[in-house]
Amino acid sequence: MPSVRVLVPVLALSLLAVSACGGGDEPETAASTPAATATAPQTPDAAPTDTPATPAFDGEEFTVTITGSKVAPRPSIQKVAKGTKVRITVTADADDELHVHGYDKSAALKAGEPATVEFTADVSGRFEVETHGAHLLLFTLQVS
Amino acid sequence: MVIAHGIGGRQDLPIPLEVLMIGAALAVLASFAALGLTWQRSKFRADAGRPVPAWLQAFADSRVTRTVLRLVGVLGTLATIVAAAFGPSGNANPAPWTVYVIFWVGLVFASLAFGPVWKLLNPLRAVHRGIALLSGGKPLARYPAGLGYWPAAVGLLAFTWMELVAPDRVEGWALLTWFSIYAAVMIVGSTVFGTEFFDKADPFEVYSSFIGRMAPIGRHEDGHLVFRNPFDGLVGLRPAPGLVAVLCVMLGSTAYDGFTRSPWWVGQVQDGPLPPTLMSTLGMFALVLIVAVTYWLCTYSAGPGGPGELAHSLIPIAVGYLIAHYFSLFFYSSQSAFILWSDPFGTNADYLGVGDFAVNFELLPVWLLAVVRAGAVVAGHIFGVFSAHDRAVALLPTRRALTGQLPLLLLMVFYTVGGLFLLFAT
Repeated sequence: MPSVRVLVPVLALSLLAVSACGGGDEPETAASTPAATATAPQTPDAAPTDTPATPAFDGEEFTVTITGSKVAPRPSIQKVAKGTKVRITVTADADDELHVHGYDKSAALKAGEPATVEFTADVSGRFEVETHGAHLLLFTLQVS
Repeated sequence: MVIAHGIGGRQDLPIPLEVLMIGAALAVLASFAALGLTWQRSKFRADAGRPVPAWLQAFADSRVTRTVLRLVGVLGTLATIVAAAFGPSGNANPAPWTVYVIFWVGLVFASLAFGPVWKLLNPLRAVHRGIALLSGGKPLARYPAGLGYWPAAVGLLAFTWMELVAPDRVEGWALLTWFSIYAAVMIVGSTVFGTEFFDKADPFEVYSSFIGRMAPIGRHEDGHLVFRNPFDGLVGLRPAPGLVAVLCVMLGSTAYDGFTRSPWWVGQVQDGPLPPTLMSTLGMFALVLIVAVTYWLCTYSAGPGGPGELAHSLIPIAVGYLIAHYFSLFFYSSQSAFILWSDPFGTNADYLGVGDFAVNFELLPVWLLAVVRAGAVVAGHIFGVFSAHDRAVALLPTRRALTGQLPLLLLMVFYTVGGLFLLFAT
């Protein structure tokens, strides 16, 4: 079963990438990112319409969706080993600013559009990932 | 804490399980020692201590020292007001860092080292001096004895509410609003009741003087400075209205701060049916209330005067919590504050020449932080337990001393193990 669930969004993303780029140079990289499917919707018509296929990423990926003051998945502590590459993708339903404390990484959030920050977690400690406007905690990144 | 979403940024890693276990074991062991193996007659005295060298006494009491300290307080306050009013918004401004880190957390360490320092720095005492010069300076009324420390307890609750709950706590306008109200109350109060109002009603002076009772240096009633052990300093804190309330606010708000670091609590606040600010406010008040009720129940067994008589033994426990929660914050964020003061108005200035400096969050080894944090909680517990024991044997007849202090002892073990668990789990 899992293999089928994985295939649907991958196919959708691949098709989108193909149609967006007008060429066929992306599909194989899209198919090699199983992490991207972890929180992806299960039906093609609900798939994000403007997400380009992402290249392979050799680190930890976190995906958060904000609806009003609801954060999905609910805030938790996410542990990564020191030195890991971290990619955080956030989609909010209102304009805001994404901020990773301590590392001081920010990204502008446009309503409905995923925004991404990427960095190497090379400082140990706990760091809140939050939005600056609505003061929402998305999760706490624990680096040790 | 983040003393806010905004200030701080880096939080400590949880303490390892071994440190939790060793700490809890030590706390329980010390409690049994206090109960069974120790003295049966009170031995701590507020008038104990060795006199300090004459030059130190002269230095501490000299006009120059006093004036310099007051000037530091006044100028530091003025600079912070200017930065808060005209600097950049949010945590790019040095003002919130100065208030929450240098002043509020720094006050714990400075008081612990030197005693009630805020009395000497408090800029509002200078304002009061100015007003007294103009008006003749006679207080209009005596400070009502029944009021005691209650105004300070309310003030502390109001400040910790702003520090831990208020959504815009790092904004300059919020700081200026809070401190304007506080200053107005203090100026009116001290004009009516004289300087005694600062001693009893100023939340920061009371906070500093309570913590300062554990300082290695203290002042006798006749004005002589002495070196003394923290137990002898603590025992000098006599029961007064509002005393227990101040300590419950200190303990409850710090516990709330530890508790709210858990993503579980944040999830409750963000997803809950109540507005987040209301939910956080209720959470903080609830913890203060839990501390108050449990303390009251566990000390009343030592007699109706028990809660007040034993209150000084809560100071070390509160101080242990404070160090555990704010040691690394103070270490790292005071550096951030210093860097921001180099460019207080966001004009790309570099007045202090440290603009390129970046805080190195790896300076303190993880194991050292774990030992300091757990060690502070356990040390606070040990000081608290022995202070309580000493007061209990003074208060109660020998055969009741043991049973009378048992509930408080168990409560302290609960506070300490709970505090360690917060350091481990959140």
